[in-house]
Amino acid sequence: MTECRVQIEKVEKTFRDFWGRARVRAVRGVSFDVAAGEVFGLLGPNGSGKSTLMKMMLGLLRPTAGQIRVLGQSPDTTAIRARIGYMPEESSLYPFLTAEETLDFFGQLFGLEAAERARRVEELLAMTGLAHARCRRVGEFSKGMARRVCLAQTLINDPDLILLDEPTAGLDPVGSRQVKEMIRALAQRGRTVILSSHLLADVEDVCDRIAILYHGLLCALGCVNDLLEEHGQIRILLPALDPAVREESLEWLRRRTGAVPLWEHPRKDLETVFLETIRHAPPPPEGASGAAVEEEAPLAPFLKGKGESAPP
Amino acid sequence: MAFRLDIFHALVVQSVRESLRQPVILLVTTVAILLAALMPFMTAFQFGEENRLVMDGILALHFLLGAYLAGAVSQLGLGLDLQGRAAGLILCKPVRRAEFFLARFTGVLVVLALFSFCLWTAAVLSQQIGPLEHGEDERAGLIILAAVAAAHGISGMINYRRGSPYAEWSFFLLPIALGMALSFLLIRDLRADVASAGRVLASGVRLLPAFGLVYLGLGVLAAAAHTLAARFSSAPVLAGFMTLLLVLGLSLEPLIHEWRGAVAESLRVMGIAWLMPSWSLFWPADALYAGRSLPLTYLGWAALYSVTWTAFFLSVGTAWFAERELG
Ligand SMILES: Nc1ncnc2c1ncn2[C@@H]1O[C@H](COP(=O)(O)OP(=O)(O)OP(=O)(O)O)[C@@H](O)[C@H]1O
Ligand SMILES: [Mg+2]
Repeated sequence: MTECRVQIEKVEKTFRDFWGRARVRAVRGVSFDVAAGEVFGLLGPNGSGKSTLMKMMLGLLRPTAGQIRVLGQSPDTTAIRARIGYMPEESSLYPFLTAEETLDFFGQLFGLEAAERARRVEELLAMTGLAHARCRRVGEFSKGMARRVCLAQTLINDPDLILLDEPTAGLDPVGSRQVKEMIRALAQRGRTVILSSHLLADVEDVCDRIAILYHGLLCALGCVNDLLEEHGQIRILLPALDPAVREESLEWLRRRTGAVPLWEHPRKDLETVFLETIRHAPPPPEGASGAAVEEEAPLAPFLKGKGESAPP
Repeated sequence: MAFRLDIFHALVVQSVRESLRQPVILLVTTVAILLAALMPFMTAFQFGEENRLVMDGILALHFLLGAYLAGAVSQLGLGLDLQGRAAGLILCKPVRRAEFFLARFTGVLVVLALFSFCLWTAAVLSQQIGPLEHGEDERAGLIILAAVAAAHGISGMINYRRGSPYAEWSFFLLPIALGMALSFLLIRDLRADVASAGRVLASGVRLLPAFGLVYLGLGVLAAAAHTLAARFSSAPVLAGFMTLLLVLGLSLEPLIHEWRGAVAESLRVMGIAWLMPSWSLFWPADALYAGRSLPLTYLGWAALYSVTWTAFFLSVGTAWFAERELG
């Protein structure tokens, strides 16, 4: 395995009341590592400590016990945050700033040059489908649009480590598919992604490994494929058969294996149906106000890394 | 990582921009300027008194509404950042907590400086109005109204044309419009009567230290508000603490006077006075009486006092903010 980007060792977090008494034990002795280039999923019911764990990785909260190393250093080190992108679970942006001003401001916090900033803002607005809403105040954005701005600010510094707290919550199916594609594309280019989500299908689609937390305890940890694969069964897919041929084949299988095979018409998932509908919808009317839905979500060129950026 | 001026600058600009887009800040400033313009008329009608009442009134406006602004800008800035969690979004970037805290405070100082400048120009202009029964120059009052109307009108137009934020533009145009109004008055007087222009200029210069003094006091209040906002970010709680501090600082003055009577001017009294937040120190109205100006040494001492208290509040605030969990 390649080097570790995040190391979490026996981390505990206890929230205390005014008198210093323990009130909530949000995280209890959690340990795991996340390797470079990995997409790591944090799962768990509400209040199981996922967001708390992420905030500790960023130095916003301090662990009560245990140790966290991020990019080889303590999360309190200011300089390493230049290599981290964080998307919080609430899109807590400045309501009076426009989308463009918001991204520009966050770019300034990384000390990016004005020209470079302008380029990245442009590319991120295009990537998140908000180019036409750039001059509108973020405060008047819909929840999903604000989420897109929040995602864009996460990537403005082209981070090595990306922490996404429920990135697809509030996004339309096209948006969430784009986010998933983007996560995969970033991981392929060596970035490490840690995400939390309640949408298990999303986690299944993008994560290499997952951890399941419950009441602050780490209950399961492993590769998604290992955890999901049912080794005792197989599924065979065929074009629809004539009923007589079908019955004959099933009968043959029954005789050969002794098991009772089941058959069904595979179902499309709702995501596929939704995406097909949008694809065949009439073009947007003049002055459309929502987020633009593109067939392909282009990864902003500056995120593609050296040698892969768009030709001049 | 070393201190980065460009990042600090970005934080200050953002801080100022965000507060200026809050309509309440513009509302308070506009009301303060209009009241300053109306002051000569009000005092003339009600008390039939001399010009001094006008100046007392405008300085009171400057201090009280400035104190309100100090609290409001701190709450709308740092307070809302902490409540709405935007602070977490900024502090997960390469920004130190102290940097963020101090940049936000600098933003409050910039807003208060613009506010103070507006009130100073309004005061100089309304000085030219004079008591009404002498029928001196009520046109100066009209000029203030015209400047305010122009600032609001132009920003309204810009907002209509380009959708730029109305409150921010108005707030920036107000000092410019008032400054232009003052220049207009000066140029007009220069043409007609050089002595009169000199009087306007002299009154401006005479009033400047007085408004500077109140500004120093507002700086201390802003530091206190900002520090309290780091701990108690909700508006009503912050307002409660600020009122307490204001009342405390105002009621300390008679106490100090009494001590002074008992232990005449001893060093101990001076020390005690220095150890308490006192707002009347920043109250220059008496010193301005009968065309006098504020002694510069007094201004120097007040500046030292103000800087000491500001530094005290800010260090407490920085420490609070550094240990605060941003959950
Ligand atoms: N600042 C805080 N003060 C006190 N308790 C807190 C604080 N932040 C979180 N908690 C508690 O810690 C526990 C874990 O919260 P956390 O936000 O990490 O859960 P989560 O797994 O992200 O849940 P969700 O899926 O709802 O986002 C909860 O019981 C929560 O009430
Ligand atoms: Mg959460």
